[in-house]
Amino acid sequence: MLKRTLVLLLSLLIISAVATADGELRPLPLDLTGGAPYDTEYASDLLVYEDPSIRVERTLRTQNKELRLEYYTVDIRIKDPSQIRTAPADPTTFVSERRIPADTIARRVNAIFAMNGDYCGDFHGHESSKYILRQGTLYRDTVDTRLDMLIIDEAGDFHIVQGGPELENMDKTAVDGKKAVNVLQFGPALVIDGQEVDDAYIMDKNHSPQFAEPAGNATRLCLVQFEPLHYMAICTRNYANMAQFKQLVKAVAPDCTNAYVLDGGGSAQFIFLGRKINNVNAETNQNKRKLSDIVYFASAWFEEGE
Amino acid sequence: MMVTDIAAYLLFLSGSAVVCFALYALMLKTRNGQSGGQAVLQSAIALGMSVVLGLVGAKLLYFIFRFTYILRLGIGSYFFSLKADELSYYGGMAGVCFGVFLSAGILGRKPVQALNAFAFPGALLAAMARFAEYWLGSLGTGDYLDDPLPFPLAVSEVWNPDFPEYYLAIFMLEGIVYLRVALFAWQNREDRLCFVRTVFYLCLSQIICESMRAQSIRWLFVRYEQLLCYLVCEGILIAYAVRGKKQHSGNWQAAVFGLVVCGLTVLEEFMLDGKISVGEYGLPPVVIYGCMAWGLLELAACEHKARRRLKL
Repeated sequence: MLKRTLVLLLSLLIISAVATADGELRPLPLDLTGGAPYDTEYASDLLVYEDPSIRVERTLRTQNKELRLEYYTVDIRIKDPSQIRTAPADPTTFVSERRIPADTIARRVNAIFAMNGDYCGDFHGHESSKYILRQGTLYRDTVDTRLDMLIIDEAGDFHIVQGGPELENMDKTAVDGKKAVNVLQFGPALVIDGQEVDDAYIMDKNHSPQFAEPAGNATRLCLVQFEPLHYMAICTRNYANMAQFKQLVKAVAPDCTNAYVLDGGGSAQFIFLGRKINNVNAETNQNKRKLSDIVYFASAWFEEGE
Repeated sequence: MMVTDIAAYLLFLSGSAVVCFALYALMLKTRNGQSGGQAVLQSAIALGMSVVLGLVGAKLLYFIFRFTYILRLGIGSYFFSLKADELSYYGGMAGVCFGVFLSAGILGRKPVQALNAFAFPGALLAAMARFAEYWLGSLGTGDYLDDPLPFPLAVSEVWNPDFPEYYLAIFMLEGIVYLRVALFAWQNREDRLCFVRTVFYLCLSQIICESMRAQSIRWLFVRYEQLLCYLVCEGILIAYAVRGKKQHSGNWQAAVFGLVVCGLTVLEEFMLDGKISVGEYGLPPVVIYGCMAWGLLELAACEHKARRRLKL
């Protein structure tokens, strides 16, 4: 009797397992192809996307009364490090003059959430020196020693190296024995290994790209890491200087281990399920700035048959 | 569909070059009155020199435009690579013309007459070189299109099967416009300024076409080849004016109007870049390009009038 019951239970378990196995989590390839396709349609009141591989939760415009700043946040949790990725405007290379709207790049690579990269596809001035290692491939082996460097390793963890001559000769392809998958140069970093960076450093224009005057008032955005595979993107709605933005980041994400500023200003774009979700009005929607690259998070959940 | 096939590109370009230089030999015979053997010899030498000098010109002008960047990357790796997006189209065309010029000099012929004979086949070759960009992937394409358009207006790419993308086929537009310039060169083949005028119209049309290309050698909104084309056009109009002065007839209108068109083009480029807007939302690009085309057509009319005033 006991044997029969056990066989029956086992059979039920197998049947239920087969019935729920309608997909699988598959690490994404380390190349310029995108993530798993998704079916969810964007809706203005849809605040959460979730599948077995990723959870993305966005906030609508929020106000910090103390700092008098309005902002947007997007909280992202992924299951596999291959889900934090970068993509260029030109689908074959990051070194190109081509610029296209962020939502177009995002839709091309099935990004659940996408944001500005470091505007690396420039050929002039300091921009032309940025080190470009993306999706595991080295596209340009120069370095702008003034700018902080964000290295995202194969485990999806952030490592930030502040600007300085040592950037020139250091090994940028691996950190702590882990392979670097994406390396970005914009900055400055606002938080490094849980420590706030001094205002004097982040307000120094020598540690910001040419067109991102840190003392000026502009729309700012950054990418934050809390713990392995848990990130947040923060973007101001109104103008802030870099020190004010750091205060906001500390208020919104007090437990973050690393926070790194990416290309913002008039180009700042948060894309959720293929649609721009920050600073949305008729004017900004008509005149969407074109970008050279994005950082994005994709699903790794492939439905059966995909 | 976007295609990257360097072998097909080189094959098409080589075939076009052979045909165009055969036409050049024919022009030397019919227009310049050279014997068949001499014409073929001069054309063959010009073809050889043009291949070498065209490549050198394309590399050299790109280097001049981007030398700060190339110095950072390493000069050796640049000069020994043959990436299609690391070549200057107009540097290449200048090299080809220089090859024609030198080959005539070597054979003791008048280089100016040789260049005039080359105007029609040269413009045809320019058009073919643009059409050949079909095999260079996204290089010759323009803006991303929200709605699909068929070839030859647009080329599509399917990096993601669920999200096909369409880009304006600017290389086709350039090729078609250059064909029209080639027709002009043919119709005016007896003009003593045939070559100069053909260069003027090629450059004039490129001012707007360069602006439409997504990939262009540029610094912010300044596109170097667009600027170069404008300078060539303005230089030709100033030359008309200087020649007119020598002939005691005022011929400055076209050159002055050229400066006006330059100012308008800068304004239009600012508008395309979103730096200047008319009204709350700015003008759509199609309207701005319409204004740019109108200005350039007016300048073409000015050139025509200025040429007629010259006693040549």
